[in-house]
Amino acid sequence: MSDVAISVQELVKAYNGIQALRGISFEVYKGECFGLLGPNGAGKTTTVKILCGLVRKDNGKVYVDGYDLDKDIRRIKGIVGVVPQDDNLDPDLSARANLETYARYFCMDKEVARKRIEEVLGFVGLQEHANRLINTLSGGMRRRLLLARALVNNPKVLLLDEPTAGLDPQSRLAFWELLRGLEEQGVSIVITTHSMDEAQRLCSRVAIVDHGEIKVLDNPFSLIQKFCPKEVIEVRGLKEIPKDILQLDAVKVEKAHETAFIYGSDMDKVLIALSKIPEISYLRRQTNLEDVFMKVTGRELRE
Amino acid sequence: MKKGWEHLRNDALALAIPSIFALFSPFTFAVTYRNLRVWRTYLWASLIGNLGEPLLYLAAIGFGIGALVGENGVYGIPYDVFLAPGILVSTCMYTATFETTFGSFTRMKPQKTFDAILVTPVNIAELATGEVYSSAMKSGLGALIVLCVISAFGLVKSPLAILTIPLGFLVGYAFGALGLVFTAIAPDYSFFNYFFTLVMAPMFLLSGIFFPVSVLPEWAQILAHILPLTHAVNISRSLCLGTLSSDLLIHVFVLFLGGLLSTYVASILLLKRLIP
Repeated sequence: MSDVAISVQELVKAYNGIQALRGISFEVYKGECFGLLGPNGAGKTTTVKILCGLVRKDNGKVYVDGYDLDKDIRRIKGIVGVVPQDDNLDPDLSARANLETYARYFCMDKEVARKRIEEVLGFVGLQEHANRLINTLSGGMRRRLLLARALVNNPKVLLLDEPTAGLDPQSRLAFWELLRGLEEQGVSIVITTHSMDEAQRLCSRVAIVDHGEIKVLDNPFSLIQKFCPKEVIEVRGLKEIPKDILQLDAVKVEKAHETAFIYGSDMDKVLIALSKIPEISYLRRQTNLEDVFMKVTGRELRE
Repeated sequence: MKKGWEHLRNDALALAIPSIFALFSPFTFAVTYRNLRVWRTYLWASLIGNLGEPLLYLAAIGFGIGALVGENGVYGIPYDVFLAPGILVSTCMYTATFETTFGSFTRMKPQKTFDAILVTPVNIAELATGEVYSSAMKSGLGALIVLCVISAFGLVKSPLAILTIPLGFLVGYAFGALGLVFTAIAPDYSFFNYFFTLVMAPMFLLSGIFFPVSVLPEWAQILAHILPLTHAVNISRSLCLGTLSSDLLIHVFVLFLGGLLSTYVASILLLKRLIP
């Protein structure tokens, strides 16, 4: 049991009669980065909010570092760091003052807090911008400051709700590097994201959540192996799938809007068949977590 | 619907003891510290706001009505001397309620500061109490400023008036808490119009600031005595005139209890709203 950082058992939550979580269970191991994936409204954010105390569960059990959420919520909050989906930094304060006021909420010793603040500012690379007001920082800097703030209390567990949404590729990469560094330090991380790329790169295990339930849970690469053939060809402009492709062994075709996805392990024959068809464009690539995601949650739009 | 009430009752029970502990909790002071630290940036603007309005009231009403009332004043007290202590506490009341309505709402909704705080070890009762304390601090400073002004005009008759500064804190505590109750149920800023028009304005006019409550018809007198501001005005006037009586302790107790209960109710409503 001691290698488990978070244990979530049969989590149930309804808002005004609408069932958001229908019995979610998972464990996060110490020093692991665990991903929660799912379409909008699937229950990812609700799960994270229950873990950080912003939503009260109807049923189920949550243990963080061995503490029971029902009994020791204050203790749990003391060892958890949270990077929220919405930026809620204090706009009237400087970067450093944001961290200083935040450290107070943990009743940290003043001297310890002062040292730790410089440490985390250095870690996220904001030491030189520490005296700037929040409104003058770029989006990437604000995200890094949110991370720094979440680290002020030296947390054992870090919860991140879509932390890189809206960031440019450079900032995203920089943010990922920071998370990897934390993982190496032994911090257990739970991250929700819509970016399959992000999940595949960062997470040792992911759970795909839909309609308030975990549909699959495993290492990203095992999931790809289990659910998808090696390769896929995305074809645009195809009116009808030619028979000679459908007749091929071990080929599966999915259509979504204007694009056909042809899955299989031997794609050369498919390519030959496609090359005879005029006015189409296609892309051959390896399958990835996004294909798994689509397979598990379906391709229809969520409103 | 029955379930909703059950939830509310459970929350109320769960928050009863934390609300008392929150009065002295270091987590409460962390929230107050945050607000005061932000406030430092706007110190001058709010000081001038504090100073401007009471001065206007004293000038316009004090000297204007005072001239009509004449030499006899109110039961022998010159009208401006009668008026000044009431203006002092009403300034405190408005300072505190503005802070916990518009100020707290801004922190709760657009800035999401409350969400940021509630993922830390600070609990909802401490958050509510911390918010009320910071409004009380502002209110206390408001009292100090008005006291300086009315002293300068010679409207203070007793050194006991120095106690209007802690009184300002107490008044801020009581009314800041009341404001926070409305913030907890406010869908948007315009909701506060109801609060200020239907609750604050009648209170301002009926609490014995401009005329003694005793001139009102009997039913209105009963109403006036229920209003917390009446108690604040009574204390303030006694301190400024140096006429102490044992009633003062009752008035102080009413204000404290009002603040405590309002903070408690605000905590329950905020819990329902912020941690569904």
